[in-house]
Amino acid sequence: MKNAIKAVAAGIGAAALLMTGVSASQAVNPCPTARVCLWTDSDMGGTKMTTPWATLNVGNTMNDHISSYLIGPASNPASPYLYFYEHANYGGANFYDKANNGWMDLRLLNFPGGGSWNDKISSTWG
Amino acid sequence: MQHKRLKRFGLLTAVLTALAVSTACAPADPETAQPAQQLPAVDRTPFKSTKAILDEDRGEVVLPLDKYSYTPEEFLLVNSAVAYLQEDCVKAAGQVMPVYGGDASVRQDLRFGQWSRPLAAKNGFLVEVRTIKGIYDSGAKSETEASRSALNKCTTSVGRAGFPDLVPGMAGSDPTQSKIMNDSYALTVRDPEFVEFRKKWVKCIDDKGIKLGSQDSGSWAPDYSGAPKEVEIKAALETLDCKEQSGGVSLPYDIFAQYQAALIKKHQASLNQLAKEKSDATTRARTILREHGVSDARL
Repeated sequence: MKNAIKAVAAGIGAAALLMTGVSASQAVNPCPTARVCLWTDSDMGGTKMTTPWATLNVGNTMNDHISSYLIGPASNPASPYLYFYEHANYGGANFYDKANNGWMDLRLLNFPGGGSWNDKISSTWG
Repeated sequence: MQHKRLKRFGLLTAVLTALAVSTACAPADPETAQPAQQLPAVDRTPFKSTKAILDEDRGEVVLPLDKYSYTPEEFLLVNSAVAYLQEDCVKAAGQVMPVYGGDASVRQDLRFGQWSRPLAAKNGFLVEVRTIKGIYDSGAKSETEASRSALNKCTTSVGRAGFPDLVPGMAGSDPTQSKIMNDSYALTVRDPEFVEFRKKWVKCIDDKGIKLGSQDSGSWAPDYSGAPKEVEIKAALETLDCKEQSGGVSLPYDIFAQYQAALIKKHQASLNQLAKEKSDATTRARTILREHGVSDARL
């Protein structure tokens, strides 16, 4: 993992137990099942939008303004990954992440060829 | 490493409290952002004979790197095996499975926009989705909070059950496979032949009165949401005509394939290891599925 700032569920449980005394069973993903939560600022700040995994255009407010995300639990084990795309309608560069994961500062996620994924996401699929 | 731990704690705090984390954990300084990556110097000339395989009817693209990734069918096998292991975990906890299961969906690759004439005639600019019949289904029609909670805990504890993530492009993961995918894409969109193709295509569709969304520079899909479907389909077919006139519908994918082939050659040894991991993973998935009563006909 390079520059990974992941909210892997296992990490939530184990680290929470160590740092807060809250067990994994008490650690609840605030993003609903089969949804992805998007924020315009890093660390889940700014404007928030909750959207279905398959969203061909995240809309004017979020388009090219997403700086952090958290993925809700999967509803279908056949599709455990969520893809993020540079352009609307699933175009351009893409990456994926797993259910229950999040990325708190997209400035730290490399965009292919240079720069970061900050303010670049336009659609999601999963 | 220290920074990573701080960031993870920041997220944990946020997840647990649903509040924003302390800015002390966030990189307030833009200097902490990633520097521009250096792309490898790659000459694709020796690989000019490499072509992407485009299945116009199914909307599927086969590229050289795909040999080292799960096919959609293999991915379903692995995911279904993981689901059965999650179910074992839930039952061991004395719970019944909640509603969980479904078919797999395979999405048309649209990274360079619509490229299939039959699918453009059917879907316009919208994505074609192929369905593969699912293998795992809990069969539950309703669920309790306890059963859902048990599954969430078991999803965490089972994880990927040791199965490798042989799908390139995971966030923050930089193994050879993902690096080849990202670098080949970045090299493609900077390639002079590609840049010329795109320039001609944009002019061609502009001449036909088709406008790309102004908010999303570099997009391949004009916004026809809300327009009558026949209008969208006509425009989608015209953008394909423009691709033909600009060098060919398959040209972007062929350039992409050639960069992949060149990069694969540089990393053949580690990719051969991935091919073995893939074979081992699918064999193990089939074993797990058989042990859980899935018939060979489904495997």
